[in-house]
Amino acid sequence: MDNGKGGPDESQAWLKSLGFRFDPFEHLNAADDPHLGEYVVDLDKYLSVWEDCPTLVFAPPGGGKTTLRVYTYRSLWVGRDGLHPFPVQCYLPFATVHENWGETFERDFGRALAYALLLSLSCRPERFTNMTADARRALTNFFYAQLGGELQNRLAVLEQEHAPSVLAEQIDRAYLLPDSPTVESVKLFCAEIRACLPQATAHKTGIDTLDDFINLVVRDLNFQSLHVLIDGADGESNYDPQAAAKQVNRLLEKAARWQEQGIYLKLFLPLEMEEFVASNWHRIHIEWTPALLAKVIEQRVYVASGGNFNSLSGAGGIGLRNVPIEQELAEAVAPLPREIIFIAHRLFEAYKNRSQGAGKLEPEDLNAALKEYRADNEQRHISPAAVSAF
Amino acid sequence: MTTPKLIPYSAQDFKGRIEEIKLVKDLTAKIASGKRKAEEPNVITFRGIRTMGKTWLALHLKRTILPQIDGVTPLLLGLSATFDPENYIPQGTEKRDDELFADLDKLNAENPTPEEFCVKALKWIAKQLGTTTTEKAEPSELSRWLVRDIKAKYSHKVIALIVDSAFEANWEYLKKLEEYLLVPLAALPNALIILTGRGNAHPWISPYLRIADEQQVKALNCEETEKQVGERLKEIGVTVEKLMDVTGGNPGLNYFFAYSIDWKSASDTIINLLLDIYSEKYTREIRIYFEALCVLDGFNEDEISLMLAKYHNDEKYVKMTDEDKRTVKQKMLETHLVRWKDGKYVMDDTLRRLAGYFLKSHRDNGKWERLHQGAKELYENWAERFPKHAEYFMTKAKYHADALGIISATEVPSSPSGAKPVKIKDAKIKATKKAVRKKTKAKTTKKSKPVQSK
Repeated sequence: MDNGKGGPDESQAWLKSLGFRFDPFEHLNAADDPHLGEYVVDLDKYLSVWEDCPTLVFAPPGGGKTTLRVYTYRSLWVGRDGLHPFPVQCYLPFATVHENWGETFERDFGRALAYALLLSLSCRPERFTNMTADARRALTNFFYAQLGGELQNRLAVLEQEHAPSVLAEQIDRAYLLPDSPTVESVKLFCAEIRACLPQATAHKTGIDTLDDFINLVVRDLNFQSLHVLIDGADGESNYDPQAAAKQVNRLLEKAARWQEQGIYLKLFLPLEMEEFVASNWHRIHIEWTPALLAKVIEQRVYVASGGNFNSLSGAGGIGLRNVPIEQELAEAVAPLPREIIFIAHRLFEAYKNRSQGAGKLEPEDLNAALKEYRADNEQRHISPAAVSAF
Repeated sequence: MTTPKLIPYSAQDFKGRIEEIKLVKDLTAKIASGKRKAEEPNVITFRGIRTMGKTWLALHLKRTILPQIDGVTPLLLGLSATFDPENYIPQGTEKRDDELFADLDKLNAENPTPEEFCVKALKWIAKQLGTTTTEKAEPSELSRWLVRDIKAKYSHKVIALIVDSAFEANWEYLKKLEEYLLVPLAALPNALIILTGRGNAHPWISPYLRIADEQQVKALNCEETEKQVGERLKEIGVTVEKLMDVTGGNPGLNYFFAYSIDWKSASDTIINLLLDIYSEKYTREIRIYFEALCVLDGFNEDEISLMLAKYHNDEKYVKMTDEDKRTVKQKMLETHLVRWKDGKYVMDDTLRRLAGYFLKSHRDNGKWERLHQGAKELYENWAERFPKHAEYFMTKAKYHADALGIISATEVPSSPSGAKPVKIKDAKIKATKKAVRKKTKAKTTKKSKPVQSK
């Protein structure tokens, strides 16, 4: 049961026909999916990513790095043993190698920290309003130094909408926090920041002032530690694993010192970078089998159906009774979750084209999706490393 | 409505649950010795329908089993009122400080807000353990102090929190309890959390709860049923097997039927109680759906219209729209007595048994025969329409044919006409199989025809 949550609107009557509240295969980009945190499978293998130590997570493109990163972020926000680690997500393409990479990284990292804190505090404004006046001023200064004029714009969005989720949509949809604050507390938060703004300066801060930042986060905001989740190493088209690994190695040189300060790096990296990453920190590999890929579908179907069923046969007609749909799809695709989501999306498209959204899934929809996937396989880009890795 | 008086929990009356108790004891021992690995869950979930004995299990663990283990501090938090004929209180009326009961199935003005309840629960635990609390404290503060103090003062003990009827509570309460109580405790190496409940799995966010060890609370076996109500069954001259034919070993129902004079009436009452009809949460309409579908071992929307048509003996139901069928299915799902399993919706076994027993014991209205006959014909029809799945559908058709055959062969009251029921021949099944074989052979012959040379 979805415990009172809403269903599809009129324009998506096909979802209703199939028994879904939303399309579980709509978003091929994991970070765009607001339900991502509910889909994660095989969690017990990756528990160490929540531990207080630097961790390297490797997977091929489309292999689930972003899903795990987003899930880690959201579940860290729920907390652990009474204290909350403060999670920060950074999406930093490492690909472009240039002389000033270090400065660029510092700037982007600082901005990511500022946005993470702004969004987090907008969901839990009492943490800000309960700080001392000096601490509030220091934090506002940090926001202003990192974001400049953008800070005014973001505050304006919060003041107008009173909903951090709207701000998150603009910044990064992966920021989906479990709490919705009251309108009054959001208004107070914005007012308190505005009150501190006239004294704020444009003094730039970078990674060298991370000590100040961690003191602020841990001491003044009562967070236990800082977990920095970094993704996006393969985010650009001119991505070179070896060059990108150089930047990662530079970052990892700081990992030991940061660990002593309660800052834990969690890097979500493409598999082809692994051989170039010189580090003894804990490594996790996200790996997929057809059975696990079938579970990906089952979990999404379960969530999207509001817990009513966990198999596509629940949306299927008589002709799909006793057909192991998920297994057939899983065995047809390259062993990557992005591929299984893609083919499941194709299945729904075939259904809509055939039936105009009436009735249930039928064998011809499944056959059409499999046929199209096989025909398209060569045209779509699937990283050779991803295919040859299995 | 007259129902037997259910008794509150007592250790002497608790029977069975050997596996469940062993599971808890083994995990407790692992936690106490520090041998539990980080990736092994310290959260166990026991699921089952009403009357299956979840609350009794929770009470037995809290009051009898866990106190017997050195170094364990058990606490019990109940989140929802239980199966309640005539104000039955399974925990008894004596108040115990280390047990807190609430009724949180609704989020309304009469109930505390989720944050308020978290504060109440955290303060209650703090009082039991002697940890830090103040008059005015936020749940985040109480949570932090609790964990800090457990680490400082109770690291040598196992803190066992049992949360009964967890999933029946409104999910807004569970969201806050997850953050402020359950996850902070679950993250501690010396904590054990046991959840009991029915209904759909709650979508916990934290991995500590997502990887909980899930167990189904099973029915009692013959031996356990004998221990539970054997004496009473001897008094009324009923065998354990006959009782279990009706109850399936469900402990609540074992007791009900053993102490009921009239089983026909008792089954009627129990079905209404299980479906919340007396509390007016649902109407009798929902009962009709369950009775109409109880002969099936599983169903989807496609079976609904025909089975209702057979139940009512009215062909107008065959024309039900897809929307109507979905509505029926959804209403059934909301009772938590239907779930998806192995590619179909299955009714809770206890309710299915009871509904079947009720229909059989009122067979003079012909519903039982009509439903089985209708199902048999439906699946035979589908076997013809979908030859790829003919074997699957014919197996289902045979199940219903056999059910009709079994009734004919056993001692049953005569039909309304007074004529002796005739064993249904499975000629139709044989004919359908033959037709399918013929079709399949024709296809194979066509495929293997040699290609004509040009």
